[in-house]
Amino acid sequence: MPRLSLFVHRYTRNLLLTLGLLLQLLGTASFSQAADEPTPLAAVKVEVDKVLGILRKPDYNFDRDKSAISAEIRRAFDDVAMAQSVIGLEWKNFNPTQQTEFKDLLLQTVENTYIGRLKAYTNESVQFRKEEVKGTIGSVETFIVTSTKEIPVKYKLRKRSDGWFIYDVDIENASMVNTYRDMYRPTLGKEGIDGLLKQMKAKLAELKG
Amino acid sequence: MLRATTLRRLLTLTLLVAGLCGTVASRAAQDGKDTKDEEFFDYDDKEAPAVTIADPLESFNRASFAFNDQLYRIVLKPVARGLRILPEPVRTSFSNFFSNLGAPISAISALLAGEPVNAASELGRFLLNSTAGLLGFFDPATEVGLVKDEEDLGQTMASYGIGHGFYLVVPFYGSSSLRDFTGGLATSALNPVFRNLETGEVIGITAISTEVTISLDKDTYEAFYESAIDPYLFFRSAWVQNREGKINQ
Repeated sequence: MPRLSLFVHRYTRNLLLTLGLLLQLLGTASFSQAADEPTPLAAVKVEVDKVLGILRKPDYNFDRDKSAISAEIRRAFDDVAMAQSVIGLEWKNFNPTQQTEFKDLLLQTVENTYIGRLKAYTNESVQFRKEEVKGTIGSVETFIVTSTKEIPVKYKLRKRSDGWFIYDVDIENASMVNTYRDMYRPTLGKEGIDGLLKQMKAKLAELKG
Repeated sequence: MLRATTLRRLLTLTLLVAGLCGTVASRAAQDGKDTKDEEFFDYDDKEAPAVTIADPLESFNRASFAFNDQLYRIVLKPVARGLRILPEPVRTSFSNFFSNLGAPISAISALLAGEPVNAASELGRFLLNSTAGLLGFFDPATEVGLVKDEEDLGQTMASYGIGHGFYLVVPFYGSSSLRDFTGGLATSALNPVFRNLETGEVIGITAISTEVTISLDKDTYEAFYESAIDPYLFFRSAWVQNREGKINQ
């Protein structure tokens, strides 16, 4: 009888130990999986840190570093989703050449408008506040802290199989996508997509020249 | 001197405009977007539908926008550039000073909008910054956690359900709407800090304050203007979204 009780005792102890070990393993596994699972916040933070890294280099020079910044930003953006959001359902009526051309021109326009702002970078920092995820759509609220104010900047992202990508940015509550949509709509209505593409090209040429 | 009669008139005007504006819905009706195309990114932000604004005076507004653009480029910007001889911290202090002058009316607007916490915070900011902040040149209030959250009477009217009415670009003043321009006039007329000042002095303070703000800005206006195929539409859209965001805060 004592043997049996000893056996039961040992058996239970081993079982518990094994279980504990297993749970621990599972725990670490699920924990590390949770940590690896990319979130909109992580995606934005990685990009912002990379861009800030360039801006904060002691020998930062906008004209020289522009292409590096541009490459970073292009990687973080979902240009197709951005273009589709600006156009709306009419997107499907465009042929693939028009779609690609619009997407490229829009990205160039956004770059010209917003990346140029980084030329003026001094000592601003970025604070991350809130992250929201609803299915495949996410948003990240941040603030750019300047000497006189905090500028709210909200990134909107969509989830693809390869991670989270930005399709819109709200600066002081004004959405980039909505603003371009409002601006392009009258031209699109009157002159169609080809008229709009022509105007966008002319504007970009004017900026370069 | 802004007399009691002036104030009463302004209030009457405000109420009149409020009546006129009614509750013009500024939210665009969302047409039922439903797509089965898997490729297409169905951007349909149902919680924050796109905001638009009626613009029956577009021709006038465009002329006014062109005038303000020239005013900015020929007068305001060169003066602001001149101000840049002053080191940035000095200009930041002036910016704090002017911003502090607006805190009392901001508190009143918040109170009238039924936001007592915000009102108390703005009042607290005014008291602390006017004293410990040396007449408002410094902003210790932000450091103790009282962050600036300016409220104007346009926002107050919005909280009563009054719509924009329509878009209005006012010469010398900029983007506004029937509601917000009225609110803006009332905001500076009713500001207790300005009570004993002549109208000319109030305009002077506003002009200097504007110059300081432009000098601190890093050519944002130009960047947006130059890259837009229609700057008028770009700024109208951005303005109405920005106001909507402030009202919904």
